[in-house]
Amino acid sequence: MKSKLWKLLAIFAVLGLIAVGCGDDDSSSESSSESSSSESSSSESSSSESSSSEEAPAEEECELARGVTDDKILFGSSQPMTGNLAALGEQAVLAMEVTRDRINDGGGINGRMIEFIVQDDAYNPEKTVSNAQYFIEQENVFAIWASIGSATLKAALPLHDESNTPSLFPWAQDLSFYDVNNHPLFFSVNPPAYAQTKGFGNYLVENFGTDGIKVGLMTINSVDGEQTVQGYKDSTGGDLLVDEQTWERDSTTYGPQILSFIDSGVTDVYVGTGDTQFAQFLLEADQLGLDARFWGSTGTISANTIELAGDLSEGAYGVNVISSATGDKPGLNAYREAMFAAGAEEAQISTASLLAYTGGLVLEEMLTRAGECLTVESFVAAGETIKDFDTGGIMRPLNFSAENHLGNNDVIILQVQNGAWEELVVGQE
Amino acid sequence: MVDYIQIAWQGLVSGFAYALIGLALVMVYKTARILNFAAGTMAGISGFLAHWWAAEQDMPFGVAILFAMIMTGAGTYVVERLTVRPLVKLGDFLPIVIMTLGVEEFLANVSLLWWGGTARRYRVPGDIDRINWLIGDFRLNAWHLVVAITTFVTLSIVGYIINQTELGLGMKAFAEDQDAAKLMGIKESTVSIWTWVLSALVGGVTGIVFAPVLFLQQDYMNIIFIKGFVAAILGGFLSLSGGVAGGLLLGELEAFTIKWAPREFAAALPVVIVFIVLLIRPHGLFTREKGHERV
Amino acid sequence: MSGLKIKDLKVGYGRNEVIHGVDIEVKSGEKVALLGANGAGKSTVLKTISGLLTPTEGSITFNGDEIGGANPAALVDMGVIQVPEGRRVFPGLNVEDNLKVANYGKSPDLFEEGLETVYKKFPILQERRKQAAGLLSGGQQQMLSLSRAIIAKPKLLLIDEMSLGLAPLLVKEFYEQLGDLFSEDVTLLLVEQNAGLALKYCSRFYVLRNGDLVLQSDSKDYIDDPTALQSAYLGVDA
Repeated sequence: MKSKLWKLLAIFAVLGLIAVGCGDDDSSSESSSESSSSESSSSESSSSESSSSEEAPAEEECELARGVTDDKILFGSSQPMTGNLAALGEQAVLAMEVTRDRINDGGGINGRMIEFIVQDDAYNPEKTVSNAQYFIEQENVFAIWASIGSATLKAALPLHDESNTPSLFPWAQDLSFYDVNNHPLFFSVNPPAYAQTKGFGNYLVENFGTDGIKVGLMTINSVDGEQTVQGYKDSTGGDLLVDEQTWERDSTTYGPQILSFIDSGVTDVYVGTGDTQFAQFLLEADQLGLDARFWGSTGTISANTIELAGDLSEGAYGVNVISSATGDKPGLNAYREAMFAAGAEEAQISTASLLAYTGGLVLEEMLTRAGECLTVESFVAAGETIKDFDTGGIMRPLNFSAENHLGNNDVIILQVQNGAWEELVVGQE
Repeated sequence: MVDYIQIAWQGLVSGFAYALIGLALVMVYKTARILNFAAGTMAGISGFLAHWWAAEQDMPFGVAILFAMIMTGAGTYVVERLTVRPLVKLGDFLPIVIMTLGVEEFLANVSLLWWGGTARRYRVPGDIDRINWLIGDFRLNAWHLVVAITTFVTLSIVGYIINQTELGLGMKAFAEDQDAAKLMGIKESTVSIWTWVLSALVGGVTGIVFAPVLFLQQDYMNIIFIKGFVAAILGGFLSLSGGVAGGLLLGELEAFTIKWAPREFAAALPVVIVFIVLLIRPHGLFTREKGHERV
Repeated sequence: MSGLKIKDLKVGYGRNEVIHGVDIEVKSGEKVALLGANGAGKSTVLKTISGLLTPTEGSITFNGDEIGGANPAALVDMGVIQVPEGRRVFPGLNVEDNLKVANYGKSPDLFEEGLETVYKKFPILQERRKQAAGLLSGGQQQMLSLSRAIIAKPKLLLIDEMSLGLAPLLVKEFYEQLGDLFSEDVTLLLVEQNAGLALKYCSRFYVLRNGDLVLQSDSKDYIDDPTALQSAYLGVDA
């Protein structure tokens, strides 16, 4: 009797572990491509109406999008508020609050105030999907804004598309998101991991040559990780790759991977991970004597990496698509001022919050350009008109078009120097 | 050769964490027949408390740890009396397990509210967690040595309590036969509460000693909890030494599978091995089948 | 009012009532047997007296104090000691630890004293004191179980089905030894299926059938022909 109960519990526990281990591997990306046929029908209806009442075309009845009223626009945001990535979720939400308050304190956009609802998904794709259902069906939001996570968004995106809900400025980098045909309502300023590692490989060869260079990659064991590896292989430094290692979300140590890197004699290690894990990686690399240049992905570039790793972070590189949150540029200064005014801690001045903040700048511009009659169509069309958008130096100027909803394609390399992230070079394409 | 010793050592250090949490879980299960799902979070709070008193209240490092341990013990005492004890009287297994899940959720939220979601560094005197010694080709981190010593001392103390004290005798008697133990005049509630406290203190030590290794983070002990759970299952869940051995074994499995297995399978392999072990020996590696069947 | 007095006792497991109002009295120092067929409810009555079960109705007093529903540990402190059915030694603990458990919460000096007594009566236990109790033979386990009761210094001793699973000859030996093991003034209530043995040792007895008392009498009336009790056990007319 008892041993049977235990067998059951054991099996559950083991299945649970397997789920944790490979939860984000399912690539269910049959996206719905037949979702955006509403544009033509709406223009038909407006033309038929304008023939009936020609005197007042300006006073045109406008059918506002779901979640939009005369004085309010409602957004939803699914964030990891618990679990390993909770810190990122907190940072993103704070930046969203800063954006909301800036817009609302300035009287809103076309008289409409911004509001948003946050739901925790703990970086669990199933919860992200149920959150999306809740936002769309219960709360009737206009759009999903600034959610964090590729695996999570990938699960929820078909639902966004089907329900004609824009997906705006997430921190999510799956390559498939940027296919405008499949996801016409997706807007981002955050390039996929593929573009980051490609930029890294190009930068490495350009600045350190190929002589004696051996590269190790450490990526999460998931589709994200595979795209990261592919991006590197497609760069000019692709042939220098000698060791590919993966980590899992339930890893407690990177020691074995580091020992493998030592075995392979790598000179450069690229680690695609978050700040806490990168700090732990640097700590363990030092413990085990891995002598190499360390390159961290976007997620590693935060004050927290330096706080946690201390001196061990000195000299580490960060591969980014965005300036260091602590840099000195007009856009960054404004960002920090607003964040601190909203009660941010030093550690929350991070790429996560800066990305959400920058997305907020573009969002404000899109809403403004969309005008008083805010529909999903007018909103998307407005976004596609944005060219050379100046973020005050946070990113290179942003460009959107009907074919390209990713505003930002350029790589920036940073390095920890004297206990702070410093920007080295603005790379090209 | 040294390479293998290095891998084995790294696995052992992780294994220490799994072993201690496995031990804490088995202790409560064996004596009180309760699965404590809050064990990981409780251990994490001990780590946060030690950090908080040292870093934010300027207490000396050792005093802060002492305070954290006292708080852990006292807090557990209160939690057991308030949440578990009233349900024990009802006599069902499931409500108590669900209650520990509730306690877990509550404590996780408290710690999130108090300390936020941002990871923190737990500073140790002289930053010895950043000191590494080279012994031949073998590299030894000073704090890993502290972890090993702490684990050894903790296991010794627990061993002493179990085998040499009246509390230990009561725990063993309860583990073997609850009714007979009651008929011998052993107070169930007394044995139960001190078992909880002892278990929480073992967890607390784990949370504190691994804080410099994993960084203090909301939920940082939850992964350790899950692996400690697996360790306990490997050990048969009714054997204290089995839980410890299961933890060390799991640590080694993880370390060596990453070395040898193809990278796609490396992470899942330890779990698969555990799964196979359980199919062959559902009662775990270290318990005789007999131990489970009681008339 | 000294001794054990049970009045209108009702006990059940959940909604299922097993004992339907039973009155039993055992005067101080008296030896009384509770007889009945398998499943008649004898063990339930003992478990209720020793606090493992809580009465749904009725009262149990010992030396005037109400003890119905009391904590087993508190009852042990009062001297209410049960030798459980099936011996219930702790199989993983060694012999000496098993005995130590019987002295739980009491002074170690008392234990040394008790240990001496026990080892004198059962030298085999001393020989095997470091051996796991689970490895002892059935007879030795019964010795150990009785020894635990000796160490606990009972005032009211409850012995549940000593004959269970033991060779009849061995059981007989134990019964003959009982008077030697415990002092004269210990009040005894013993549960037994084997009436012949019980009647020899006890002065009075009760017979329980399906949770009701069906007979009580002095042992001497039946001692020559215990089979006459069969009808009371089984509820058929002789």
